[in-house]
Amino acid sequence: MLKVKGLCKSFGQGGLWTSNSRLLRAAVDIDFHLEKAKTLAIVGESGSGKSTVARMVMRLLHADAGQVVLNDQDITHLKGTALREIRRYIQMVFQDPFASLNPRMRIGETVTEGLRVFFPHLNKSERLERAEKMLAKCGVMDAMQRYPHQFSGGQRQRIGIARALVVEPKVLVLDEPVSALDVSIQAQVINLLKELQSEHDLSYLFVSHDLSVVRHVADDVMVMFAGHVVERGSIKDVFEHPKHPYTKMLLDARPVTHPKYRQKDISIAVEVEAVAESGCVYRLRCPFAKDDCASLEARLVTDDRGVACLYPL
Amino acid sequence: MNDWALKSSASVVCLIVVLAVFAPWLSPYDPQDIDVAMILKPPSWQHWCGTDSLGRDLLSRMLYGARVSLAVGFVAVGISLFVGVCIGAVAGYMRGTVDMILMRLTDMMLCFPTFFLILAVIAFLEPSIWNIMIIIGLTSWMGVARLLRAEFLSLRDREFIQAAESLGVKPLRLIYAYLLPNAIGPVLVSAILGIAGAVLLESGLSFLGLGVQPPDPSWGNILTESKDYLEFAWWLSFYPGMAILITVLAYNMLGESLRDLVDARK
Repeated sequence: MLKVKGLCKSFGQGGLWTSNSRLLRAAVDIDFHLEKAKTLAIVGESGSGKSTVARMVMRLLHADAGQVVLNDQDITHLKGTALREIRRYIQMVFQDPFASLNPRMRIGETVTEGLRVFFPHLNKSERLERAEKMLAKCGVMDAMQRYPHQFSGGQRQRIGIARALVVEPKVLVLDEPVSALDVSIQAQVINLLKELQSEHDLSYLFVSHDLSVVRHVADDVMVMFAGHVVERGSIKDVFEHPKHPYTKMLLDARPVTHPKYRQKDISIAVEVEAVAESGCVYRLRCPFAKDDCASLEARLVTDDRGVACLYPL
Repeated sequence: MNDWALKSSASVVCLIVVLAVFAPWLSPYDPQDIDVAMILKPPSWQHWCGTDSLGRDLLSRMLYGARVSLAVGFVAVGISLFVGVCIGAVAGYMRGTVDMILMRLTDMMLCFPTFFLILAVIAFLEPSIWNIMIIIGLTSWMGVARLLRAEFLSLRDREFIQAAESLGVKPLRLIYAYLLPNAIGPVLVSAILGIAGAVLLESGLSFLGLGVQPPDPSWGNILTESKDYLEFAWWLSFYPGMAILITVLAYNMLGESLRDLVDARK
């Protein structure tokens, strides 16, 4: 369905006098593939490049190198009309429900926007009807004539989902779709997403920092640190047998509800925020780092279950 | 306090507009009517604001002058809005080289002292109210362009714009349905402030004899006339001066309090 090969992106850092002195590598050599009706989660701390990857896949951000292949079509360099055509198959739900809807546009118009572009043969009432149906399916009623500020965060997120799904995409990129919502609302939206997935055979690229949510929705998971994929595998493998020290740290840092499983302290949390310039990116924070971690860059080897560490746990 | 400023300035602005629009019905005399018997008479029940050196009724001339001032204000600002919105929108939407070129052009325009630029241009054209409107409009769009560009640039990173982009919304629609409605608030506020500037500019030009030509009345050219009689006909400079002061003040206050309102929402 969706294949990504060797995707790279770096941003220039530094101001007027120090330009080009440092590049922030937001994504380095990202490979993954997403099957039909499956969910691939990208997890990592903020700044790890997971949203950058999502945006490059969406073609909202131009990749420095690499390929994005959708339905066997390379979409990395499409422009204009060709780019617009493929957008019908890949849509996105954004993180902030308060920023992702046009405040000056009625919900009806916002949700029909995609239909205007991709289904020009529909007339206005047909478009409105489809939009209203999709909104209803997402659990929002009587919204067509209202403005975004009249809705709560959870409802707005549902509207965002309806807007993306009304054009009947195959792949949905979800950029932290529930992290701005209350926990009780999160569950509702997650359940809605799961229902919609099984109903429409959607593939989800699910970007999140919330491991509990990821465990709930995803089939496969990809852990990113400082622009690198450090571990990848099925949810079960990665959550039960994390091999990369960073994955282990993330899993240990999860809040645990049951007192029995509560740990005394998080064994391998490190205060350093530094990212290594050479060798393994994680070595400055890694409690198990050895000398050759500084010189050798660990690479992901296998395709389905991989870990980028010289000394996996 | 702000509420008070908004309400009072808005009512003054409305009052001035009404007075200007209904000038032909409100003015007690024909503004061009010369009455030799009534030369330089001080304000009285007959002539509320007195008469000028040709015995014309000052109140009537001022009401007609208000039409000129407001027409210049609105049309000039309309032109500057149009030019500024076009340039700012293109620069803010396209970014990169186009933005750089347009903004350097804007900076160049800002470098000229507007008043002297207008004087220079008028020297080549015949001074008429239409030329004044066009020239003021074409030399005062820079603020609007910069403001709109800045708004566009900050909006470009907002998620709803990216959502629209990923829905394949075409550039023109993206500009007029997404970017403009969300950016226009501060721009309109600055346009209202611009009206005050244009009114002042027109008065200045007419005062120098480069704006509205006598015998057509304008606040500026009434003042020109009045300066010769300053010692013994105070009303000739007092009333048009007050009219300019109140108008400019009202528009400025209206603009400022609307600006506070727009900012507070953000």
